[in-house]
Amino acid sequence: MTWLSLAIGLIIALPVIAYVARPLFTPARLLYATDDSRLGDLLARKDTVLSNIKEIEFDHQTGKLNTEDYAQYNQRLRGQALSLLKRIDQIAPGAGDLDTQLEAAIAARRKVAAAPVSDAAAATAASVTEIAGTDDATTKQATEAGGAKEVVMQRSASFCHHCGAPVEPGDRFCRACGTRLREE
Amino acid sequence: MIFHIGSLLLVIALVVSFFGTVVGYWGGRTRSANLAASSFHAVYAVAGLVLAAAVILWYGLLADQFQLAYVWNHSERALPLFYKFSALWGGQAGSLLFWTLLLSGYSVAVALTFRTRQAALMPFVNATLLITSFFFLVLLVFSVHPFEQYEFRPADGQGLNPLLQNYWMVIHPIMLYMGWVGLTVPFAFAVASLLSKKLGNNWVRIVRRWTLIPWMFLSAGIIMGSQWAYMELGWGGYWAWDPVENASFLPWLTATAFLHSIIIQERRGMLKVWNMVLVWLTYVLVILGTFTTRSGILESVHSFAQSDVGPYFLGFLILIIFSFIWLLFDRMPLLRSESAMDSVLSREAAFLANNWLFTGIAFAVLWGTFFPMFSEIITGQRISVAAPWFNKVTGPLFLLLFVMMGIGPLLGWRRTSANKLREQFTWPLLLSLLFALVYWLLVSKQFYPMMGLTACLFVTATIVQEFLRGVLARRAATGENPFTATWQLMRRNGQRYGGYIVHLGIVLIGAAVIGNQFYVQTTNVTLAQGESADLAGYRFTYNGLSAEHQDNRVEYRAYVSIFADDGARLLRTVSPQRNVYDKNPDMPTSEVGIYVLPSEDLYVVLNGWSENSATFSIFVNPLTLWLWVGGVLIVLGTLIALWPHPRRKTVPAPAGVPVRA
Repeated sequence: MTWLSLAIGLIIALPVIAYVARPLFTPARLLYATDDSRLGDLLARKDTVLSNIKEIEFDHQTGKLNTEDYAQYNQRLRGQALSLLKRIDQIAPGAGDLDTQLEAAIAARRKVAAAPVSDAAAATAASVTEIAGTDDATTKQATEAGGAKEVVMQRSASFCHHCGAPVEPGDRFCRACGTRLREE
Repeated sequence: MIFHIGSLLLVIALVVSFFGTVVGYWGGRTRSANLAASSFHAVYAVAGLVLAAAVILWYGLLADQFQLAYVWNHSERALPLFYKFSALWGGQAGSLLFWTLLLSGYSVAVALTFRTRQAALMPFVNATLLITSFFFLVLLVFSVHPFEQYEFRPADGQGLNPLLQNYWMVIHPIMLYMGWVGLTVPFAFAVASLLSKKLGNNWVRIVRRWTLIPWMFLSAGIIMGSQWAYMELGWGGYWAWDPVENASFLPWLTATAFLHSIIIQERRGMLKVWNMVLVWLTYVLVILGTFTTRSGILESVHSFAQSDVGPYFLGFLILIIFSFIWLLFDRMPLLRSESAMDSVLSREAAFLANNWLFTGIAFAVLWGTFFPMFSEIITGQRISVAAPWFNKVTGPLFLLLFVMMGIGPLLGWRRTSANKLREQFTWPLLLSLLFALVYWLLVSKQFYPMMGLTACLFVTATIVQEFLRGVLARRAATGENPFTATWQLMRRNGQRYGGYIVHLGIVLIGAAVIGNQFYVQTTNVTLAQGESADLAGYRFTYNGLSAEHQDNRVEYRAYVSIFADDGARLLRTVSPQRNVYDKNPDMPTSEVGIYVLPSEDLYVVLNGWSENSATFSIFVNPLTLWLWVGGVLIVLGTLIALWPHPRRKTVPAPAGVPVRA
């Protein structure tokens, strides 16, 4: 190894070292605020729940889930989605308009049995199903299935704020996870 | 002098990768954006330096710089340009450099993809990728020396190992390495999520894609390796349970198990510890595989080079095994399951069974691979476990796995009711029973091939049924025509339907393996010119021999005509061939003569020749074509599963809708 090649090596090494070390000499910053990751996790869980909703819808359509099981799981998952959205909204109000829309749509759908479907609510429901990655096909089916499901939905209008399981009026603790329920 | 600079580049990369590892872990711990940014820069810098070193070695190979020991050992003037290029991964030092280069490539891809996302995980991910690079750079700098030079410049090199002078051998290692190296990425994310304690669903979703990509390359690499063995080694087969083949197969098994069980974690929040263990095992098996290939600890035709890298590998293995186990135990409380198994008749139970089978097979293969070493350590005698042992042990497990592959997708999540079970299983089961009966009565009374092929048919039937039902459901809802419906199904639900295509590929491979395992017909004959041999209803006639000098070898080519119908109809004239290399005359390579039919391969190997006669091994290998078709389907299916979901339409909510419930 000659002195020349050592010198050249040094000439290569210096800018590399400067490049790698440069961020250390800029003003110190924090990588993320603590809440940030909680939000990310909630968003990820929300996505999972939504894709689970889509998955069981599809399983039902292709004959793997019978109607009772499907209705039960569907209700549970939608409850979870709603509660996740509420928590996301608490941490970061307006964390993406889509979520707000979704919340509106799910709420609208649950109210359908009580009030006649307004055109606007139906339109939102459709748009939201798209957001959730559900095909227009399932939307149509859901709307067609209509009455019966919404009646089921209406019976337990509130959900556990922790796990999203449906809650009967008068319950003080969640039947699924045992969390003390908030007064609503 | 340029080669001195090559060495220096590796030394600088070594230092930078170590520095990057430290700032990565430290930055992740202290949540310092500055340290994290520095770890990103380290990833890019290491990649640049390693690329520059690889370019210098490539220059040495292409410009015939024989004063470089590596070039002298693995190249020669007459070597075709293409193989000079591929000689980079033809030997120990070069292939370790290539490994490091690919790892840097993956690291940069990951860093660029997530440079603004996953802030909590990325410093740890960078650090884990860099520590792996660091290890390989330690090997390159302290042990294998790719840029070692002689005092003088020899006139010509030794030539590349003749076995590697084949286009499959150029592409096969790239694929295999892309697979192996890429499996570091899911491991890095697993470590990052453990270290950062961010063990939610987040890392799982990222890792699925970053496991599928290397998994696809690894699958393709294994299949291409088999193709190479089949076409070039000339012993009639494609898989010998050679230690190096096993080394590539082991991480494939655990990675496949991981790809399945991670779905349960994503959907149900279960099996979190198990998934961590699988991703870590996969990484350990990759390093172990490189170790066995590179250290020559297990005697094998593939261990071309042997050197002193063994202790380094052993040290690194011990480090990753113990530090990960410690980390996992430390974080155990954070890895509780979110739900429990509802029923045995659920898809998650089927996935679990599949996982046990994959792990069982992996354990058996691992045991068989290392048995010679253990026996030598304990008894002082090297006792090898041969192919029949592997077939006997893994065969029944694979059969069960195939059955599960048929059953699993038909079950629903959580629980499947009795009437749904009936609905799902009636047709596939009836069809399979009918097939088994017909096969038993008309084709063959052997139990295992009958069971195996029946299982293959069962899986195929379930896949067809799944597609049919999916298409029908879509059509019922959207009124699309069948083609659009199928297309949309795969487009919008690629994870599932891409998976089915992969399963179909595996089924084809299974059928081909069964055909080759149980129904091969073979004969060895010496034929005078014009003489014929009969096998399996075909007639093989020897017409003569030619010799031709190419760049660096002589090609001896025999001409054999294959006739069907007792010699009445000429199918094809094939030319099995032997290449004798100028630099390695005692290592002739084989090039088989092959005529491929959908039902079987007619496969002729030239073994030797004299003045007017030649010796051949002739094989009739049933269904072999489907092995390669299956490989293509695996890649295709994985691509479908990887393809991004079509952009979701977002219709803005009309004004006036109450936002809050």
